[in-house]
Amino acid sequence: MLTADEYWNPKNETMPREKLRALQFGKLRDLCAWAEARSEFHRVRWAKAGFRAEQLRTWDDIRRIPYMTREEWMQSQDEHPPFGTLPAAPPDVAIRFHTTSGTTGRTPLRALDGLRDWEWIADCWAYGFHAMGVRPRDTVFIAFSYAQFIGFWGAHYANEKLGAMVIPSGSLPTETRVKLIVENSATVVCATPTYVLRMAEVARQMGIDVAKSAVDKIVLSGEPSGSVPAVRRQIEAAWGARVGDTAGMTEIGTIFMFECRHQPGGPHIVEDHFIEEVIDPETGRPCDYGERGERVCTSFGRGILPLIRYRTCDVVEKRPASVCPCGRTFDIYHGGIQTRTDDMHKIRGTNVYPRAIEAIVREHAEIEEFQVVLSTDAESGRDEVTVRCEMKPGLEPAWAALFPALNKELSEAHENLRFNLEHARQGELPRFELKAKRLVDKRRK
Amino acid sequence: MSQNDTPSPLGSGSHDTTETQPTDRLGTPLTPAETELLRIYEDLKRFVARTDLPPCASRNAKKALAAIHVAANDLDLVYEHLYDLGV
Repeated sequence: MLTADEYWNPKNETMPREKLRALQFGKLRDLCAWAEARSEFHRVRWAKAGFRAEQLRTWDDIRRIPYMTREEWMQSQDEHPPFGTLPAAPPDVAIRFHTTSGTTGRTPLRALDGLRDWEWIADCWAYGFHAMGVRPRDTVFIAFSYAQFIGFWGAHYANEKLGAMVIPSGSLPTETRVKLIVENSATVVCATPTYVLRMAEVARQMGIDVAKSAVDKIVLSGEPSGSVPAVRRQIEAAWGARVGDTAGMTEIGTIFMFECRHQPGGPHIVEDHFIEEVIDPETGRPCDYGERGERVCTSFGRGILPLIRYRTCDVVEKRPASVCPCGRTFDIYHGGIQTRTDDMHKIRGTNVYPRAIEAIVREHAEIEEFQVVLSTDAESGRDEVTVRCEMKPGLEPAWAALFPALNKELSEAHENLRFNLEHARQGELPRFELKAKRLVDKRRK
Repeated sequence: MSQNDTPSPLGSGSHDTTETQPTDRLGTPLTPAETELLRIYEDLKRFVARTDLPPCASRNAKKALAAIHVAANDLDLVYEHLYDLGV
């Protein structure tokens, strides 16, 4: 069982689900005992809730464990700076320090990792790269700035671990990155969906057709649009390569799901290293397969920051592993991260989700870039939503025909809410290297 | 089967030491390769705990232990944290 080519870890990736559950439960009990003994954060909260690790006797006992939230973690950091009371080991065992990206505008979380944590972080990414078909013969280009955001650091180490040749790109400009990819015959590109499209755009401006390059696999992370079909189609067409989505978060340090080369409509969950629950965010009721709910994560890997029943705000929909022909028994998050419970904007009584807008806009390949502006009309005091679109060079005349179609699609997808559409000039809208910030909220508070 | 079905009460979360043949965390007998991996892991753990190692030996051994731990954990042979060993 130590060698097999389809899977990074054939023993666990094909393990019968009953055994997988037993494996998870054994780890959960050990992790809770560890956290209770070593983490003041958990010990105090659990004592208040009347939970003790020894109460975990059957799977259903997981519901005895109180949920953990980002707000509690931030509060602990504020009260006991810099790391709060969560760490289960002294900071001097850590070899690295990272923070969350700050996308949501809140105080960044501070994360620590030791030697073994980094090996584990890379290992989880390796499940994903291996599943996408990355092997030692591959040359992997990581388009990432290698700074405080933990992002693709683990992807870099994963590829070193699995024996591929890695080309790091640091803070290089996009033009240089495109050249490096083409001139060194990179076969794999790893970046956010936004930046993969941006590199293709810049390559076109340089007179380079990246679809003719050696790249045959694109591994995405960092944005939910990696599982939006229209975005994927655009990336696959631009690069002539197969796309695989992954998702992670700084709170765990690595990815918790990866898409295999069979592209079953969503990524597999790394279920031997995580317990992923899906709950009704209002009631806490466990959701069934095919039902959308909030993702709750328990990580077995990073013991220094035990993440146990952490409410992520990600909205997901679990499907059984059997929908994929790859043979893995790891369940699937259909459509990846579908949205976030904290990323919903109310416009004149209608819920507006940026990811839903992106899914519609990206169906139109003539659009190069877009921006969503929320504002308040000065006279009426009414909230407005405006989608500004920049066309691909040479395709500006198509805007006249696209305008009514796009307007109708956006409105119909949002209970007939009226959208304002604007044609932006070439190069007017911002471009992004990491996580895109396409929503601008100018509403009167 | 629902995603929340209760599993059978397999796996105590520790090694089964009552049988002569070593097993993984789910009670499955180890393969020869797994047995050797587990032995290397335990040897490395003992080694990094030594206090007479020069930095070049101590830090490199810890790095090796970190990697071997991940392999042993992936194959369900061990689940533990090594911070007390500086790993």
